[in-house]
Amino acid sequence: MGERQSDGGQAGRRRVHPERSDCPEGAAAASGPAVSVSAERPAGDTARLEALLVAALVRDGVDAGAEQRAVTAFVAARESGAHGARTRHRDDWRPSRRRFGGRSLRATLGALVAGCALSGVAWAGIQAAGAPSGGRSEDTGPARTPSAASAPTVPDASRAAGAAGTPRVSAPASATEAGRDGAARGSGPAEAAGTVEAQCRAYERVAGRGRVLDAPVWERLVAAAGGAGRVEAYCAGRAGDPPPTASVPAPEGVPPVAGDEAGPGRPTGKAAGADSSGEDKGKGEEAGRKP
Amino acid sequence: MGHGGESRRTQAFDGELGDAVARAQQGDEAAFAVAYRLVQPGLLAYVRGLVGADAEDVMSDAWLEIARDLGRFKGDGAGFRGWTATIARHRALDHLRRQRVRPRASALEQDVLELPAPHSTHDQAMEAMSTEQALALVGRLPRDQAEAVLLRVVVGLDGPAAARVLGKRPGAVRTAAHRGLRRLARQLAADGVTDEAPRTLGEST
Repeated sequence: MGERQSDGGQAGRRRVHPERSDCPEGAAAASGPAVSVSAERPAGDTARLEALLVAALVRDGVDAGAEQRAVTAFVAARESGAHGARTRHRDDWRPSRRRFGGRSLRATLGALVAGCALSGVAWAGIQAAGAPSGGRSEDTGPARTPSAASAPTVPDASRAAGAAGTPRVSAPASATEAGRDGAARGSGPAEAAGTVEAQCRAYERVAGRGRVLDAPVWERLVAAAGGAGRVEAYCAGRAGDPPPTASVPAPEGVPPVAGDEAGPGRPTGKAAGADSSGEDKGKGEEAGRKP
Repeated sequence: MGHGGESRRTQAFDGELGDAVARAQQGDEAAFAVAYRLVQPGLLAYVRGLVGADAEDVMSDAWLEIARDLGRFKGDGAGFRGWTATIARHRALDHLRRQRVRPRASALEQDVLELPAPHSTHDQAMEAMSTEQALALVGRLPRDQAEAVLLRVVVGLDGPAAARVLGKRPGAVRTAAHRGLRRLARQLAADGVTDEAPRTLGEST
């Protein structure tokens, strides 16, 4: 019998599963026959079982002493004014609000997730469009506060920044300039570094798929690399950048190339080698936006 | 009380309960006593399933809190059931924490492991069940299933209210109640073969 039961039980569970989303009472009643032990019994077992439990567990009538103590406590609370207390969320059991609350919670979560996704896309778009594609970004790394939102490649740079001492601005920019830039753009350079690498990764994925490569972002990447044929080498070079060298300006000579090739978009790119990196970025960006 | 099922029975009383609560909130202590009598039996049964023999003490504490905080409560009769069940549950969990005992009183579990021995068939078992037997049955359920069954069946809460009391999603509580009831039915039917029961329990956990 035990054997048969466990089998039947499992079958019952499986079969009943889809019904669960329906009315619970109905599903329970309908599941009766599915359980092997109830095969020989009429449906409606659940109701009988419930009635049985109630009959066994619930004792009608209350202990008079206990009731009196509760009433006494009630009177005491009334006299002391405790009943004027403010309603907390957990005290509010009004049905409409409960329903609304449940729905709004779900809606809020949905909106939150959608918002995060959309803003992430928007932010990535802005970064992709606005970030200079040269290698300058890493130069400014040490001067930056590490950001949790940075791309995966950043932690090393952040550590390097920490080791170098965050307050020490390596670029000869004026403090206000750096402050303004940092405040305005947050972890921009770190993200820009991540952006280029992300572009590289994306490029590998979409390479050879025709029109995608015509998009402005790709044009920029290609321009930064110095030609479509050199994108892979450019990306490989960037991927090979040892992060701890982040404080060394212009690693691997990439930025001058970028500055030369980017032309109209990055008029100050060439000056970047000597200029303050933060300032340069600001200028480059402004200049890039003006036309 | 008849075999109409506690949930139907309690729902019939919810109108009356709502009136009593509203009047009690105006300061009517007699109405508070009415509400007490309507709610206490189901709550006591629920708490007994959680803490066993200490249920009366736990409910005394719970009622002190209910009496003190009644002014904060907002809702109707059904809401009052949920609100009071939440308070009772918190007191019961506090009690368990203090006692550091498992929610299922082991004494009950041991004593009544052989379920209704005289009942060799299911129908006989379904006719009557002592409180201890019922508690032992429920106590052998996983905690979430036991609580879901008790809140639904004994306290008479609907799915969303039970879910709110337990702090879970309604779907999870509904599932737990179903599984618990089905397992109870199986165990009832399996009486007389109690040595099989643990295997069945483990298998479907």
